[in-house]
Amino acid sequence: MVKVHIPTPLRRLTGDKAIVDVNGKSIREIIEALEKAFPGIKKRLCEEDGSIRKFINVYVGEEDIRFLDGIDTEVRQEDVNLVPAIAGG
Amino acid sequence: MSNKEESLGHVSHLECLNCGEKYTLQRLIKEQGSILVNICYDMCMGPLDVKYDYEGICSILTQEEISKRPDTFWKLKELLPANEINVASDRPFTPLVESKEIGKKLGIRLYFKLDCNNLPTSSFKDRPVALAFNRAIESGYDTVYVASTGNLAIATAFQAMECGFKIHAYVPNSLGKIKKDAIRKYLPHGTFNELDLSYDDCNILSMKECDAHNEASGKKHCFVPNNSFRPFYKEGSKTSGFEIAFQLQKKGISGEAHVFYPLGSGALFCSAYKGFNELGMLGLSNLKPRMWGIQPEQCSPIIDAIGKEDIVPVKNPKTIAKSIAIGKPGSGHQSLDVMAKSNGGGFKVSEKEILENNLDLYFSEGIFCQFVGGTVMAGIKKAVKEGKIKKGEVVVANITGTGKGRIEDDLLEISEEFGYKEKAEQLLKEVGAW
Repeated sequence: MVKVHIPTPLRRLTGDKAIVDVNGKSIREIIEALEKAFPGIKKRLCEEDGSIRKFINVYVGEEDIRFLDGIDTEVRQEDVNLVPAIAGG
Repeated sequence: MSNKEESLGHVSHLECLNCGEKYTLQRLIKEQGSILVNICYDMCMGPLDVKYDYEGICSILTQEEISKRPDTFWKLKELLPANEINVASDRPFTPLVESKEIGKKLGIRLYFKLDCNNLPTSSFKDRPVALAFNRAIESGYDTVYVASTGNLAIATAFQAMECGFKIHAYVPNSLGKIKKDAIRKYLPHGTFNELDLSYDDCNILSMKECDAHNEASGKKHCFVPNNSFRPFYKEGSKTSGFEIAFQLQKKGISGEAHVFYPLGSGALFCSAYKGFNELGMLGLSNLKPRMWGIQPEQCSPIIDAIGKEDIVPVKNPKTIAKSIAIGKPGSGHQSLDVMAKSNGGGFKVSEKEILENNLDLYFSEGIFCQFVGGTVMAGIKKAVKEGKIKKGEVVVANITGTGKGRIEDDLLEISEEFGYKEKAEQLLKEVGAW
């Protein structure tokens, strides 16, 4: 099981849970698993073509998947963090 | 749910800057339990923008009314998201001064907007931070988490001290000693966490810690100013645009003007443009700003994305202009829109150009600023050289932070590297830091 951290505004889809456990060996599989458990979450996270929306940063452990293999990044023991792209100011 | 949140000054709704989805305050309270929402949670996760009842405001903010009001931060309070004024009530405009030498040399009418003067912590961050705390006070918050390369933490720490909030600051270890000391100065009720992480990672950590603290205590009383309240926080930076428009107007300048900002996240750049546009829409200004954003070559994700579809983040950015070393710019896409809509653009400049222009600003104009000042000045020279600015045209250089008590250690180090050690030592002697 992989622990996925859900950003606050999306928690109404996860029954207010901040961290959820799902099965999956890659970010792609994890998103599918999230959608099964919490219908509607995928369309918030992904474009129609299945790619991750540009306003979402996905981290496997401490690493942004943009610097790894994108949506096909493998996930083993690490936590997955979904973080809205908000920084600086 | 707080009744106080059901209305917020003249705010009509929040709107996604990406997909246009509208969120009324009532909808936010119903779906999220609060109006303090930072993203388009129901559609594309894009950034939200605060919208106002402009028709109603139009009848209040007449030229006559404006001329009666003092030149202070809240001069156009109807265009800011607040019910009451709780902070910075009599803060004056920062100065807009004409260039003594550099403008003449370049053949342009150059003005400096000095956010490095008159603001309580001498950087533009005092603008958005004031709005975030104003909102936090109205919503009953008492603790603030902040990640920063310096200016934001300093501004937040100062405001927290003023308002009696607890503060937890997270800064990258790479930050100079002088900046760290400046943050510590305002930390009587807080923790200071120096971490072996980049700014972006400190930012994520601060959000997580804030979130965990709220979860554990079972109530929302902690916030991250540039994150939790981002749509409201950003509105504070509109005042930069308001002030410039009024100040140019007083100098008899209207029509087209080139306005240059340094670009980190791009939030100041976009918010200032929104401020200019609102004044135009309400018939209070005829200024037509052409917006130019400048980044260091060592961290230029926004400039590199001009004409492209996506912004490629920069991992571990390293530039002497540390306050804009932001690898994943939160308002990057919007900044590109602003450049295109305003017939402006952007440039990137080298570390050497940044240093040389920082020194030039001091020795030609008496302005000792952070390296973002040198970044902007180097960008203006590039724009003139490339013919983007014609002789005699009006140019505003935003100097967004002071050098004093912020960059002395970095200045010495980089000056030695590029052969300007003597000049840097002379500068530091003259400003009393040597």
